[in-house]
Amino acid sequence: MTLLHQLLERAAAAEPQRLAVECGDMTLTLSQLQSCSHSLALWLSELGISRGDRVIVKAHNDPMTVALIYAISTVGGCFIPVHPAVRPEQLGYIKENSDAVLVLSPDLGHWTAERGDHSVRVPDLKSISSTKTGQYPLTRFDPGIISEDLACMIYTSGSTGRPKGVTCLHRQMVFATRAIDEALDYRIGDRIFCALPLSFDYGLYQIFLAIESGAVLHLENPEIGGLGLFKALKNSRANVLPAVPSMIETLAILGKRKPGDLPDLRLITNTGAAPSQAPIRTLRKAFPDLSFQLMYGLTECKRVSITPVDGDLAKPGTCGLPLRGTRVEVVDEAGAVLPAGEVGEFVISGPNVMAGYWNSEDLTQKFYRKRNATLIRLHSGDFGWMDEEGYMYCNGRRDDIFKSRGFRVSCAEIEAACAEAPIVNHAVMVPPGPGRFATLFVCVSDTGFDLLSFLNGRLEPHKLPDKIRVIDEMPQTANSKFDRKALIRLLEDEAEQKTTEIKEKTYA
Amino acid sequence: MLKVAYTQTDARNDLRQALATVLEEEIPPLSDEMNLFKEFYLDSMSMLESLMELEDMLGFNVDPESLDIKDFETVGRYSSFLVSIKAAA
Repeated sequence: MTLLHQLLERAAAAEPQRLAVECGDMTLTLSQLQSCSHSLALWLSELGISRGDRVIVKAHNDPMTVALIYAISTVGGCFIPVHPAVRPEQLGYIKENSDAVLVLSPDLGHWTAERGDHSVRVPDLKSISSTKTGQYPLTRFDPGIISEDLACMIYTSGSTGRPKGVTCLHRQMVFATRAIDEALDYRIGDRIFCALPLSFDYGLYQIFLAIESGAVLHLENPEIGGLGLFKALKNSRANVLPAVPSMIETLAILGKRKPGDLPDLRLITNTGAAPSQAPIRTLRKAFPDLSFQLMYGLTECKRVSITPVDGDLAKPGTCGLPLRGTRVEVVDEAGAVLPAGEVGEFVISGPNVMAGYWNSEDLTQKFYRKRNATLIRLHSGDFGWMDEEGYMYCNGRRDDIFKSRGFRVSCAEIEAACAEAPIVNHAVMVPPGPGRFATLFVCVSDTGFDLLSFLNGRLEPHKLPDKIRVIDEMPQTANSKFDRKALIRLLEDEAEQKTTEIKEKTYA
Repeated sequence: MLKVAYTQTDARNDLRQALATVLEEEIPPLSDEMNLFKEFYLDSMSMLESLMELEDMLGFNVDPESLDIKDFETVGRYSSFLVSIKAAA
C-alpha cells in the first residue's frame, strides 16, 4: 500500500539533498519540502483537520501550494485545488458542494486559512523551511489512512450546469503518477517548466511526476505562457515543457526567430486538446534536438494515453498508447466493442479510473458504468478510433463541451451562468471552431446590460466567450430544443462569406 | 529627407487597429491607463497575435528574448514599447 505523500517521503529519504522545487529565488530540496509539509501537517492537525476533511487550496503556482498539498494528504485530508482566479460565487458553490472545512489562499500577499468566519495566517514557508524541525515520525499524527481514502477532488466542467468534483483516491493517484512517469521521458535531474496552473490536473501532476522521476519542478506564473514564454523558458534552462496547444503555437511563433536558441529544452509534452501539426513541425525544424510526446486524458481517469517519444512522426495524428495496466476500448452507441479502425466512444478500464463525481450518484452512474452490477468502465464522452497496434486517434468531444486554452469548458456551464443574469431570456453557447470564435448567442430584454462583465464575475477568464451576439429569436429543433447546430451553420456561412470577400478583394 | 517621428499617439492608434483586426470587432479609442487583459479580456495568445499584427503593419521584428509581459499590460506601456522599437529601427 502506498499513499500519495509517501511518494515524497520515500524520495526524500533516498536523496534528501536533491532539489525538488524552485520558484523565483526560492528553492526547496526534497528534505526541506518534506519537513515543510510535515510542519504544515502538524499545524493543520492542531487546527482540527483530520482524516476525510476536504480542504480547498487556491492553487497559485508557488511552493506553498506544493507543501500544503502534501501536508493535507499527510493528515488524511482531501485537497481541492481551485484556479487562483476562481470567482467568489463559484468558490462558494465548490465549498458547499464539497462541504469543505477550510479554504487556504494567498490573496492578501500571505497565505491565510479560512474556517467559517475565522481566518488565521498559515506559517511562513521561508521560516519553516530554514528551521531544522527534524524528521517527525509519521506515527506522531498518522491518522490511519488507507489507500482507499480520499486524496483529492478536482472540479471539472461536465455536461450539466455546474462543475463536478472528480473524486480521486490515494491508490488511483499513485497508480496514475507511476504509470505516467513510466511512459514519459522525464529524467533524473531534469528541470520541468511548469507554467500550467496547479489547479489544472496536468499542472498538478507535474508535482508528483517531478518527485517520482527525480526532476526539479520549476514553477512559473501561468501568465508567462504568452509573450514572455520564450525568454522565461530560455532563462530557466528547463529541459521539459509540459504544454497545452496554445503554448506550442506561441512557442512556434517566437522560437522560429531564434532557431537552436533553446539549448536546454529536450522534450515537450502536450495534453488538453489535440495540437495542430504545423507548429510542431516548425519547432522541430527550429530545434532539431527537441522531442515531443503527445497525450490524451480526462480528469475522470487523469491520463488515458501517451505517445512514445516522437512516435507521432510515424503515426501522425495519434494521441498515443493506453497507459500500461489499463485498457481502452472503442464502443458503438449500444456499447458493443468495435474493431480497429472504426470510430466510436473511448471507454477506459483500469486502476487509473477515478472514483466518480462527488455527491452525484446519477452522473457517476452515467459515466462510470457498471456491467453485471460489478465491472466498472469509464465512458469518456470522447470519440475516436484505434489502429491495429493499439495507437489511439481522437476525433473530438460531443458538441457541447470544448477546450479553451487546453481547459475543458462546458456550454451548459456558460449558459447556466447566463440564466442568472436578469436580462437574459435564452442563451446558447457555440464552441469555437475553424474560422469561428467561441460565440454566445442570447435573447435579452435589455441590450444596455453589460453581460460580459456579469459573466466575468462568475466564470474564470478562460470560460468567457470571445463574442456575444444578441439575436431576436433562438432557432429551435423539431423537439423544441434550442438548435446549436443551426447557430454553428450560421457562423460557418458568415465565415465562408468573409473568405469569399477577402478573395474578391485580393483578386480584384 | 525629413523623418517624421513616430509618436505615442500614432502607437495608440496602431494598437487600436491591431486589436480590431485580432478581435474582429470595433475597438473604442484607447487611453494609456487601460489594462488590455481586463478591458478587452485579451488572453496571452491574442496578446501575441496583436504584436504579430503590429509587426506586419509597422515593419519590425521583435526579438523573443526581449519580450517582457509587463511591457504589454497597459495601453500606455504597449505604446511606449512600440515607440522605442520604431525609434531603434
